[in-house]
Amino acid sequence: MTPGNTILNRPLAAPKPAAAPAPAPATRVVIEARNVDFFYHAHQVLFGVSLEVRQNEILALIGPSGCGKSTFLRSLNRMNDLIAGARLRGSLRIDGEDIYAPGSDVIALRRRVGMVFQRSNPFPFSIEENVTFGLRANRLARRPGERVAVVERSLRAAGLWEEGKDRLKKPALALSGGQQQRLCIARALAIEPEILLMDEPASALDPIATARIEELALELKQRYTLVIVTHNLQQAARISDRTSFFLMGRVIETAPTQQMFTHPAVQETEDYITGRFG
Amino acid sequence: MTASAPPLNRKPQGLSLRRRLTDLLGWTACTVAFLVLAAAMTSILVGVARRGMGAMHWGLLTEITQGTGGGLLNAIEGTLVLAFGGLLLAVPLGVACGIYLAEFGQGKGAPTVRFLADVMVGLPSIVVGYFVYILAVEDLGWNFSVAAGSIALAIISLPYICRSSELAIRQVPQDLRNAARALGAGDNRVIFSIALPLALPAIFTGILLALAISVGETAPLLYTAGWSNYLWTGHLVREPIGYLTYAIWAFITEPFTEAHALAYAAALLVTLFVLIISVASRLALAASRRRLPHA
Repeated sequence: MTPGNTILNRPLAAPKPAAAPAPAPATRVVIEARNVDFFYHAHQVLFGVSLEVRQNEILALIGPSGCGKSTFLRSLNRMNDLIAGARLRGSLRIDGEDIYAPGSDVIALRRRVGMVFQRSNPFPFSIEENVTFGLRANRLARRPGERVAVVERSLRAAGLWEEGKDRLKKPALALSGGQQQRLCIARALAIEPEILLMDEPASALDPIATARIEELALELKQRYTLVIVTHNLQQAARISDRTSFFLMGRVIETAPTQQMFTHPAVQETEDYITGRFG
Repeated sequence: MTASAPPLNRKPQGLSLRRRLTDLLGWTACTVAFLVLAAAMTSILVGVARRGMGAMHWGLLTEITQGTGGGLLNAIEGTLVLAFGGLLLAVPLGVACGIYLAEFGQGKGAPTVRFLADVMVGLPSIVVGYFVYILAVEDLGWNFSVAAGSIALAIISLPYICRSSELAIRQVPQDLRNAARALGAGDNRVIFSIALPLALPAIFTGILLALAISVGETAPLLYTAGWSNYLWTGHLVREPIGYLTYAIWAFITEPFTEAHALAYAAALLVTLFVLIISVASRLALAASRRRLPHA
């Protein structure tokens, strides 16, 4: 890891859309975690995590491997439910609604909270079928012509329309790695979520494909709220509005990104971002 | 690499005598084992092909059996009817079992089903024949019939279809199921839109394997299908039906050249059926490999 001040000397925004000014304090809180503990069987991986995510911001979750940031991310759309022995304690609210309340609708939650995985995982179907999968699963846009419109809108939003419009019926697996990841983003956008979770979305991509994903994230926050797990501190610095630093299952510090990378409030944060461990 | 570095694929010249002898012994044992097996296999195939080809004539495919002569049209038809009848019963149940084992089987249910399937594979096929004989032919009064024969073949092929379906569905990557769930798909959507379509070529391979086994079975049919010199008239019960393996089994023991010719012709036909099915299943498997990403 490069020393911290190298990070600080870099421009904080990607070349294209200029870094948005810090969100107005009045911005609505979309996700609110209060004292979240998380267990796999008896093994506790999150300890009293409290943080909030505001509308139309990008929150980056950083921290060393195994610090619980992915677990926290996956608890936001209850993907952890699929793991035997997974259990959450505390309160996790999205738009004020407790998503772990008994009887709450997991399917409806996942429709509102989209997810992009670390390894791009398009279905081995056509590009078009990938984008419409969520529509079919949720019985949305059923009138003829509607789905065609959704395919175009989603691919445009994911910056894949120009490359993909002439090969909608072609297999998605013929796309390059970066294109596949953008297809996965398009697929998630097709069902119009409010929130998009990204679990190291660019870690398997080359620098150019990574830059495109980052530009895309900055565009997407105009319409969506984004939570991004990343191992890449420069990436967090370039695209996020605020950053949460996780360490051994705890949130050490959450702060506006610029502030965290210049004046971290906690010694551990400084040690981590200056590369002294992790 | 520098010029003085030894080549990587060095010949084992530095090996001790003991290691060279062990090596030689191992290779010899493997080669002999292979040759013995290949010789037996070739002898059977060549014998069947030579004597079967000699017995081949168009009448075999167009005429019905007359005593110990005539054609095999009734037996060819019967083999196909019984094999497909068996599949008709075994495929829905077997694939459903496979889905259960791969997707839902928790607690004690799945291990029990898996154990039973493994026991059924080990069951001697003549026991299955006798079981269906008691149940269907005698107790239900169906006599020798397509229904009884198909049930016997279904019982034989069920465990193969079940286990191969389970493996085929399991082999669909977890990544894709997670992607579907993250898009708001429920259990049924994940199974029927992702797991099953992607597993289909591999499931199909298992079904073809079961078909090959059914075509080659004799023992369970002796007790259940009987034999008939005539074409099937479409009755499911109380009408016996012919099949190729019966022709092999019965006519080879007759003292007439004519009967032997019929037996060898039937053997060649069964071999060809199985060969075609095996090739088809390999092609299906290759298709499934192409379809699945980073498997």
